[in-house]
Amino acid sequence: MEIQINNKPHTIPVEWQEASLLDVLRELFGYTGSKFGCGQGLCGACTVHVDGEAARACVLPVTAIGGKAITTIEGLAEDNQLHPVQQAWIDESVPQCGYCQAGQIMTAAALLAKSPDPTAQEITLAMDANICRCGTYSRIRRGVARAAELAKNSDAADSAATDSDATGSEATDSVATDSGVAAEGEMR
Amino acid sequence: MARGKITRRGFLIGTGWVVGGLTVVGAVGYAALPPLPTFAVTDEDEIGTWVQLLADGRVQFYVPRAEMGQGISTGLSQVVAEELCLPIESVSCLYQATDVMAPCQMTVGSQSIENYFELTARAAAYLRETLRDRAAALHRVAADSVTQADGGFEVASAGFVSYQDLTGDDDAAVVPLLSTDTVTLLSQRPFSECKVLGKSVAPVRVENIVRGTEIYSRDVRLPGMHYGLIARAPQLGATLQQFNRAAAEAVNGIVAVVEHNDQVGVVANTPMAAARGLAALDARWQSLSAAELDRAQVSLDIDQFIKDGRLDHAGDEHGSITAERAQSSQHISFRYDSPMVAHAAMEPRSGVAHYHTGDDGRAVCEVWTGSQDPWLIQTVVASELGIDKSAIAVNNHRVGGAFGGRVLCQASVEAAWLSKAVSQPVKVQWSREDEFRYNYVGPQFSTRIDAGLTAEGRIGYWHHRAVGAPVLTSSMFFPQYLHWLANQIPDPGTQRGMTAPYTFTSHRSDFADERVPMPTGPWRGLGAAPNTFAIECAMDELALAANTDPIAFRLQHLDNSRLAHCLKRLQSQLQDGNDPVGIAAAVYKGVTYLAIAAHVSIEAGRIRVTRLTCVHDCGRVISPDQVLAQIEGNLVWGIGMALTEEFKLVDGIAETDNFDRYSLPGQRDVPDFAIELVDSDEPPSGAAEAAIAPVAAAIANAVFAATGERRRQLPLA
Repeated sequence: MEIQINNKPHTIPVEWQEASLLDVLRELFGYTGSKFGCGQGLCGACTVHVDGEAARACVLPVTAIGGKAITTIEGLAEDNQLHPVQQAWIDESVPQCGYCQAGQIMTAAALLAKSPDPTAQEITLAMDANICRCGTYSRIRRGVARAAELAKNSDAADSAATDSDATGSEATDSVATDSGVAAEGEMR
Repeated sequence: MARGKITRRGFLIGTGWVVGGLTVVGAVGYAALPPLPTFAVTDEDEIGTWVQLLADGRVQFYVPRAEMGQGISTGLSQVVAEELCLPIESVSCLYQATDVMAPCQMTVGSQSIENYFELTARAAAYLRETLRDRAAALHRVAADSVTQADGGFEVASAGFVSYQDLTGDDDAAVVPLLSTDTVTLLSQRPFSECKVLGKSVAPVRVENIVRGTEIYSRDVRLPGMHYGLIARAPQLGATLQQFNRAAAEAVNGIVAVVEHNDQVGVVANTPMAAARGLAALDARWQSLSAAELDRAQVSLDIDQFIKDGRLDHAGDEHGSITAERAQSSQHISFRYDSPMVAHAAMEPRSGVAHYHTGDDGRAVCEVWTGSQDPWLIQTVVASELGIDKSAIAVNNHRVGGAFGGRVLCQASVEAAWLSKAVSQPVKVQWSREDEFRYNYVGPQFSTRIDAGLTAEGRIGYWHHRAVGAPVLTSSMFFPQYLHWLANQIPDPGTQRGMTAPYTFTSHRSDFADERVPMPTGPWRGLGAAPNTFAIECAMDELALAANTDPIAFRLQHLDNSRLAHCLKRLQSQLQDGNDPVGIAAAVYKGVTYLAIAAHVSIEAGRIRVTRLTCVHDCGRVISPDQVLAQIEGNLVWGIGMALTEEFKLVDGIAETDNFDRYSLPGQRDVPDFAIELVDSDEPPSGAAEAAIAPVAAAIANAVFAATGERRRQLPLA
């Protein structure tokens, strides 16, 4: 039996075919970026992409994967270039203990793939089922909003080939303001 | 694993300073004591291995504190960078390792900056001065003619000499020659003159975290590693009666069935085989008697303790509450209760151990874990395996959340005895259910506050009576044969935050630590959050009775200028026309001051926190963004404590066993925060668990403002 993880084929030996996708990723192949949190799909620490959709690897039998493509946190950066969500997580200093953050980042990346310009409320709803015991929620919201801007900016840079430094810093400033205002609006 | 080990030869060549006697064996009299957490701060003559200059010119820093998300590796790396005049990116930090470092105090109580700021500064400054001496010797000039430059020195005869120019020609690391001479600490300049301190920097290792490459103890994989599982009692206090060894051994992939003391576990080739083996073991248990189970259900009731005269420990006392009671014109007497609470860190604990024969032929055991006290793990593992502590090396990892719940990391001890049985590396990973059921919890608190107002509206007397369960004298640390001793000690954890920060004409506190069957222990802030909940709710009730604004009322009773300043700043931040607001304030451990306002709305009976405003004074702030992050986390914890968190035990069985039964705040429960850090020249104090203290009271007071209904029992929702 073979599955695709981060664009590479991986063979699952017979004795591991009764395992969850998460155990296979972590213990068999060493993709330990996806974390075990609850074992019941309740917390989101194990979130990976299955054909681009966020899915909880702790409750997925590896036999259910078939030909679908698995992407883990280790496969999110392309050619060593951080994904906008990863970059935004650094820019906003989101992580504290960091244990849940791979799941948060994968959930956010799946959201932005579907909805590149999410509203504050969409962000809150999409991220609501990922628990962070350290309490980084407000930074997660800022991180998703910033990632959306970074992605837009990088698309614009790709197509128009503008001075990326100048647009980069401008976009950054406006994100910080926008997300603050949006979140405040949502509160009231 | 990938930890850069320094050979003993390296130390000798590097400095001439022998790193001997790292394992300080206790005096003979200590032999009777159980393994206790590491209470002592590291001696200054043992800090020499923390900061090292590697042959390639990089500075490697063994952070003397456990990193569990509180950001201490960032804050202390900033201290190292400042002392060595390096950008923070040039300092790579490593986590605690018992074979490289002398014991460090367990990472608890928000005291890393308080106790380890200057020691870390000294370790780095000694390295700097050792390198200066080297530069002087190399160029045959006096040390005082070698001047500091970024990343090296200016030597009159030779120009710039980088640190790398001063490493040897082999792979030895340079560690500082410790000196009793006074050394100038660059980190003690005003932060305005510092290059790295007082500035927000990206958390160290944050890129590892976002790439998924940071190694937590659960992520450790060793060649030939096996998987271990332990049969665990389904019910509190149940003892192992029998199990089916043959059936477990017959399971494909099971390597061994191992008995240790009164426990049994299995070792297998895969996690799934281990699970099948454990099921086949079919462990049977002897339950507690019905009477004992009734006792396990005990709910602490302050009024019963008062009635029975069982408040054994006297806290602070000032003036005569009896005399002042007679002088008071209005009295309140209210009871406040908070339940048992779980740490619920995102990473369920784990440990990997490898017991084998070392190079010198004696048995050794290496352990990989994530603990608030790796030296306690070292001692416990030594005691469980019956070998000397010096044969145990514990490698600590970033901890996926601790909050007081990881002082002991039982999984690493279990991995050790399983590994001893098979002489192979064994990994033990607790499930989420294990994490809820088999760790200690934060104790229940039951409090009664009696207080009275004089005709002038001042508090004339204040009597705080509380019962909790042991926090620092926990059964987790004190075995049963020492309970008689532990019970004599007024638990400083229970007592934390019990003395109100206000000046009353008279006050007194009395309390008890009732040893309940469910193991209790430290939980973020220890007694500070439950005690402050009672105190700050009572202050709100008294302010109302005095017909005074809650902030003004608190200020009337404050001699403490730093807390008063926080309250005044809070007042200036509050705008009219918002949702109903509740106020609370606290002084954490006498060193960190904070005032909080909670705004709430009640939607279809559901309490929603719509805004939290916090003014926080923890002295000089080394790493402002990290302090903000800690405060944000504490505010979220306060929301959980106020609204939903409660650990439940039914018939001795933890009903709370996963996140569907322990409701934590989620994304939609957490508003944006307004946080002000007070600009201060006072010495830096702690932030990691200070701000949780007044949050629940602020929310409860806001609920009263919104509904006119007092709720005095947590959780409120």
